[in-house]
Amino acid sequence: MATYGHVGKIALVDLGTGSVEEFETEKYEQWVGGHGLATALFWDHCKDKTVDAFDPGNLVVIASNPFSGTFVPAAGARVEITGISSYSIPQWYSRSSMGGRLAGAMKQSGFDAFMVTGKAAEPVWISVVNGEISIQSAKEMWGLDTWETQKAIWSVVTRGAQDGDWYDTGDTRDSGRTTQKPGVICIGPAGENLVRQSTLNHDAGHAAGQSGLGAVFGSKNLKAISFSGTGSITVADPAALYDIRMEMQEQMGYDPDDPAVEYQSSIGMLVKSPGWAYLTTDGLGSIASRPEGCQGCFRNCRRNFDDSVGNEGYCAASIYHALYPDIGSSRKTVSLLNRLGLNGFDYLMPIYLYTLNMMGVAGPGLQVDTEDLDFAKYFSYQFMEHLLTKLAYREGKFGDDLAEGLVRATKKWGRFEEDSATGILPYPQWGYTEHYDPRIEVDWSYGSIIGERDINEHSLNYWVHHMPGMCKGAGIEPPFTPEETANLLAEATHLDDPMCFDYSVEGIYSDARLRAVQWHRHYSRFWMQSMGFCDFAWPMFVNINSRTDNRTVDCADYEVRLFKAVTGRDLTHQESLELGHKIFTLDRAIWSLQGRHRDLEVFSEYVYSVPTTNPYDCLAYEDGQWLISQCLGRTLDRARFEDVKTRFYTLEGWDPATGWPTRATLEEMGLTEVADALQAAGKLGA
Amino acid sequence: MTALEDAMGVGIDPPTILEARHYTRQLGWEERFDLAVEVSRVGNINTSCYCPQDVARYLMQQHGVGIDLHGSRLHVDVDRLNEWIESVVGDVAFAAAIGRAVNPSDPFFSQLDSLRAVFVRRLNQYQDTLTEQGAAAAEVPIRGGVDPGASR
Repeated sequence: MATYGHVGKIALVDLGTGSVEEFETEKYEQWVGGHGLATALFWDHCKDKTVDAFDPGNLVVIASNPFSGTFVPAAGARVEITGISSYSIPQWYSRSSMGGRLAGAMKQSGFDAFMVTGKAAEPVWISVVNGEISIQSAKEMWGLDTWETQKAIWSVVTRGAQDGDWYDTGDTRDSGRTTQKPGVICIGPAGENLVRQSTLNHDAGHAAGQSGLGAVFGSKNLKAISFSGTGSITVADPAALYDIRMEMQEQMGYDPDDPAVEYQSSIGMLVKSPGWAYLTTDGLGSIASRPEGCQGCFRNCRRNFDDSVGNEGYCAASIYHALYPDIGSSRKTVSLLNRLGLNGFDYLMPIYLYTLNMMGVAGPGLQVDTEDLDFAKYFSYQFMEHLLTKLAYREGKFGDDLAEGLVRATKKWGRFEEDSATGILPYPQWGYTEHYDPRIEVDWSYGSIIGERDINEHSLNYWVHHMPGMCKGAGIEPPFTPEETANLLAEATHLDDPMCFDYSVEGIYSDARLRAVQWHRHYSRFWMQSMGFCDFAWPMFVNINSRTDNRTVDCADYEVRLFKAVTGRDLTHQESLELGHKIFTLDRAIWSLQGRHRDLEVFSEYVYSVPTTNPYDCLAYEDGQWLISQCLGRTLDRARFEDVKTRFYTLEGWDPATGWPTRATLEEMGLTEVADALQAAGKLGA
Repeated sequence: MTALEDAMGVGIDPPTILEARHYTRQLGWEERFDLAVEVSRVGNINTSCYCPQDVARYLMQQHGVGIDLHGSRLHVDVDRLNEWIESVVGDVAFAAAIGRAVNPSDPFFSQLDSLRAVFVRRLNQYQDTLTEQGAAAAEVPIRGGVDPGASR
């Protein structure tokens, strides 16, 4: 039954048997949507949560949220995708997400969430049209890149309709018509070849990349899922939603006639243009391009080009080879990554290989035999094309090694211990690339090590790191003093203690800092990953380029008002954080079953032993005053981090000795059956 | 060296062909110069330079107010760079020009602008000398910002 924000149905497809089951979304209403919904479904429907990622029993869940498909800014477009990760070490239950049009298309096709398990005997794709699910042969599509795959599926589903033309969604007069191209999620050659860095792709440049779920699709012989339909999403109070939308657009949007978009960091103070995914337009030359946005969003942060090269490129993909001296090569690399279906966030891999080459370790015929890879062309697109092609197709022994993920490859090459100790291999946890300095910006490192992957959440990072650093470098007056920034964040997060944002040598181990890390985990688990707010637009604590006089944004107020307008349900900010805690604890229970123990939550050696040597501007309280510290010479103290873990587990209601959730915590959350399952497995916290 | 160049601090007498060849040689791992490219989406990427041309490659990416095409900014220890140019690369005149051109009290992005000007000047001198003398190409191609798309 449809409820406000939900279309009412969840599908489970078993590719091994070809069976399709449907469930009422209402049963999972308490989990709301996105990650919460996906994790609850994974808990119920993945029979053995300890299997290998490529085992047919692995369950992939694609979950929308109540905002999906509506015009809630920054949250109307996203789906959360979960399953056992093929990339992380070990293979944790993990997550990724994407925007574009997929979430809306899935709900218009009749489903709030879509689950896939089993393995098809031959390559298949799944077509979902107005609630009808059919499994179709993908033999002809196997080998196509992600753009070719989507075009092939669009042609089948739309019956060859041209872009913008109406097409019938069924064979009867009343089966409906639409002009919307199906929303397709698919894999490229990398996913087919079980490359652990492979992505799930949608449209030109939307990718769910950090968990190797593309390879999980490939292991199931699943090329794509296509969603199409004429359904609609009922919201509780459309007028209120419209008013909030317009209010947000006034405060956070831009004037199309005089665009000045704030990238949330101080870079936004310098680069005030929509379509800032490539950040500056200086290098675009005469190539025509325009900003492009996800469904429902007014930010339009991506960019499409007249020649289609690099369309929708974003985030790490757009800087994959940050050493490229021209944006043309960068755009070509973006396209290549997306067409092959490779994760742009593995951007340190070529840099590391070049370092090994200069050390005399890697190269044709050397200890790490790179075969025909020509490092003399390192700074060229040709090098990148050759490297990524070898990776996506597992070409040669070298390509095959790399396709297991760089950290697994370095272990095979006998390099991991030395290179992760010296820091030339900066992969601090779970096989993931360093993302901001783990010795300083501990929201990221603590959050990632107690979680399942690189957290990839920029909400605090913009203000504590980028803004002050950029202003200092440019010699311009920052919009806020360090003290004002700490106070602003204390107010915006409702933590009400500026010391929560002290990244000094002492501050990163403080109780106040741990409160902020805890807030970050719970907030993100609910509003970002379960309600689908996009990290590149939300939470926008401050809008420097606001067209109104008010530059601070009460995100919490907007969030609960939007929730009420869409679902009709009252939810306080505190309740939302409690839901985030509950969802995170269910995650933790799954990881516990998979073997998680506090002893595993240890960073790579360089984090503890190699001091920072480059400036890393960060907010700090030192010698009785707030300042922007360069944070030089910083390491993470091993013993103090162990103490951090103990205190954090205690805050979360987990056993400090093991890191496993306790029965008391689980029962308080209404998760008695989870406690029983952990106890049966010998993984219940004392 | 013109009076204007001298006033700007970028003036350097051209190198001889032997000097140009020597200064543009590719150095080994132990002789590298480390810098960091801070990329807006990911943080600091530590990377190494093995010749002045490598340093120039990163400097040339910087556009306008210190951020480059990728929204990145450089972290270069100018003092350490100067020392490397002088003692490892061996180009004393180049190091001296950097010392004249870069004012440590300027905002860092302004320092990068000055550094870039000296690098362009010196790398073009290297290239001109080698070209005019009909010498074999340098071990590592020299760009000085004029041919940013070329491969090594």
